[in-house]
Amino acid sequence: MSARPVPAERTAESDSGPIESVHERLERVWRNGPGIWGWLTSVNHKSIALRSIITAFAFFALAGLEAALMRVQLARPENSFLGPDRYNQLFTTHGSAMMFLFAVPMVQSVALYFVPIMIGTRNVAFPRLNAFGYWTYLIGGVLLFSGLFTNTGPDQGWFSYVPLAGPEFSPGKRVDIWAQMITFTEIAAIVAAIEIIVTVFKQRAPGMSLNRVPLFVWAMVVMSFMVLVAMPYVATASAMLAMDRLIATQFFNYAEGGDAILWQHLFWFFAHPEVYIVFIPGLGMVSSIVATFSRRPVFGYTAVVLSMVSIGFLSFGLWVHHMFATPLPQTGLSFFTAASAMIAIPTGVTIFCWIATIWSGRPRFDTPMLYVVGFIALFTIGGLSGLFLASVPVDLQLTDTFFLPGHIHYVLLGGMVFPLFGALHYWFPKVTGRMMSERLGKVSFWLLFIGVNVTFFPQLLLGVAGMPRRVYTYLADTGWGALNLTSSIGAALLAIGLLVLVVNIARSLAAGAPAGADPWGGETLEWAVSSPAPDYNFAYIPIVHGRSALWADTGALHAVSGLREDRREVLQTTMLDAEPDSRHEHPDPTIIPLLAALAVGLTLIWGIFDPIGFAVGGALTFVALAAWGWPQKTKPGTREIVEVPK
Amino acid sequence: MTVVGDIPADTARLAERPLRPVVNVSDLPSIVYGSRVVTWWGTTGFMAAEAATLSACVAAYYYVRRNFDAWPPLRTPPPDLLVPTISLIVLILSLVPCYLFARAAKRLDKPATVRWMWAAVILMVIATALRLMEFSSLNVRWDANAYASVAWAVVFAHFTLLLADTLETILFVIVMQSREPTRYYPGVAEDAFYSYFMVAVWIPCYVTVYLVPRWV
Repeated sequence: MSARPVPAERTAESDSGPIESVHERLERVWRNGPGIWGWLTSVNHKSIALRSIITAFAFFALAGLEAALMRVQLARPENSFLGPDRYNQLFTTHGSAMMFLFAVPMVQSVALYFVPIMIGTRNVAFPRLNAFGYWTYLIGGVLLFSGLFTNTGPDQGWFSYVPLAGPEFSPGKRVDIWAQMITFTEIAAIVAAIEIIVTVFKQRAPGMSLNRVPLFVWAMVVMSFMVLVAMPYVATASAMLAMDRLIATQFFNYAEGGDAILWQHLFWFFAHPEVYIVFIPGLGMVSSIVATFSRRPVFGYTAVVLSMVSIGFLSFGLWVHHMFATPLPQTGLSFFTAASAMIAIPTGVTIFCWIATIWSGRPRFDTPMLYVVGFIALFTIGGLSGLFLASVPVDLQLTDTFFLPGHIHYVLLGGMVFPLFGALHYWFPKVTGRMMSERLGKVSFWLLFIGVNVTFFPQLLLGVAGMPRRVYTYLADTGWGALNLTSSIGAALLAIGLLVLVVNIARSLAAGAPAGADPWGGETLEWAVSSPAPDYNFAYIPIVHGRSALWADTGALHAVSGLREDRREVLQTTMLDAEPDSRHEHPDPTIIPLLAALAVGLTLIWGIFDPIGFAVGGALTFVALAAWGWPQKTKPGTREIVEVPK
Repeated sequence: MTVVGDIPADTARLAERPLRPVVNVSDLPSIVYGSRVVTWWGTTGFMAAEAATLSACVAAYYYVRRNFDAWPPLRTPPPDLLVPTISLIVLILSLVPCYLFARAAKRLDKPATVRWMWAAVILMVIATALRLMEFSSLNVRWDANAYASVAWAVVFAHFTLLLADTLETILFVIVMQSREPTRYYPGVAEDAFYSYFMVAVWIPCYVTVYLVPRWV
């Protein structure tokens, strides 16, 4: 069965009068329920992604505050602002929150907000699962910070090396809180990854064949596949760690044949790809911004897509370069050094494609584009400092010194946070309907850009000078005082820059100029709808005729009609060519995802204290899932058309 | 505050772009099967994540193996073969009714679907019970040494998949009793698809946990 053309007279009619009533009908069907109940039961991808973005920013702010406290402590030698125990909890929860509660959830939330609009659909593929993922993430984050605020914050470092994190050297519940936080965030990350992949594969607007998918969407698909493979490894590792601690298994206990290096393999097999899991979405955001602000499509589309895919693959072959200081075979070390160098090739291809785009376009350096330039600069310094670490003999000198925090902050702030802030300025008008102030935007950009360099370049030098990481103080005659003070002044600049950013957001929300649908002259479909996008995204699903959906067509976009307006129906298309294939009814708002997440939360948190928690919580989770799948009454007027496979 | 004033007129489009419907999709099917359905892709995604989890457990098994001279370690008997092998056979047999109910679901044949689902449920419940007995067939407690821990980890990790699949199939049988089961047929077919994965992925785990200690 295939889609049929709309008769000409109906086309003409739909252009003017009835379209208003279509908007109203769809609004009634797709909007969230009223009040707090409506908020708790929402299954709308934009509502959930937006609260997830705000949650991730809140964790970013908390973790940033921790960093500020640490910089105050290190600003001068023999400072007594923080004690060693508090300091350990701060750097552990800072790193863990930034990686697991900010970076990954943030890039996934940006994807869950924009991917459906960019590919021309009305919601993500599994709306209830999406809500469940958010609640799970929220519980995991609250658990970690509850630990910190009750002096039970994890204190073993964000990569939780055994034997330090094992039962012998870390008694109490601190490490268990860390391990369960990992489980929560892994569930959420895997759920979000599946949402993104399936939504992109099956719900693209007709005509958006795979070779027309926006680069931003490609980046999110590559990231999601990486999440599917990498995250289970850290979830398994943290489960093993928790079991070593709770029920006396021997996975990492050397005395009983266990292996501390096993932990490092499992952890870094996840955590190296993790860097690229947050970096590749940055490439996607940068690609969107570069195209719009150079006013031409990105040069070398196929090369950029293939580069992102190959970065995804290569990133799984690099994990051992985090373990150069462990007794590994020489051949292995050489292999991983070579593989580490190889990833420069696709990264370089991508950066040259952007430079070619800017070079051959008509670039305009508004705030989002400034962040792109800042990203290229910082990421280059980050990459160059990484070259030192990729060399085994140099790594042996630098490992566990302050060089490491310097390097990772250049890479992550450059590769993820700067693209993210660029994206924030770029898409803020779409999400809120209001423009941000360019003047404040530029002020905050320069404060942040200078702040990053003043904070982290001294850390690279401190590392070379031999200052170990994760020490809460140092003696005056080490000579590290001046560089540490400089770094702390840089951190203050960063804080001021972030404050200006927050002021800009608040001012713009209250009194920003109205943005209209398409303030930047964008390339992709999100700029075809009003700002903010309506709950149903598109009154009619658009039909795409080229790679640049909006630049290929001027005037009215061709679209699809015939989806029901009295219920939540979405169009599914074929995976490769995005031809209309079937219709699918989406669920209405429901509280069940929240209940299921609470049941999972009870299971994992109770389980920290008593294994019986796993049994009781597991049973409750099953009840919640049964309610989830329970048959619902078919709505009157349902017309099922079955296509039986041959 | 700079807004859109500095953007050239050719790119500044403040208004929403109008959409002109040219294709009608109201006659497209609402019930399709296999890779045409989003849930098929969702299930496949979870399979990928679960396969990665099992592979991590199996990798840990072989990694820890290097720390021992003997495998299983001295004074640890190898696992029994009887119950695990029967359990494996029952699991493989359960795929026959799975295949049949998936086929019936694709024909919208409710009686046959329900009948074969019950057959599958019975076999899967037996397999689950046998799996619980399998833990004692390992002949060692999880906390005895690293060998015991990794063997338990592989069996337990897969046990969660088996349990989930069994419960899901039971849930689907109940759902199929509802008055209008039509829209659940594709899900039922995917339930069988998941079972194929669940059994297939067990085979290397079975070989690892039960046969490898006897071979090496």
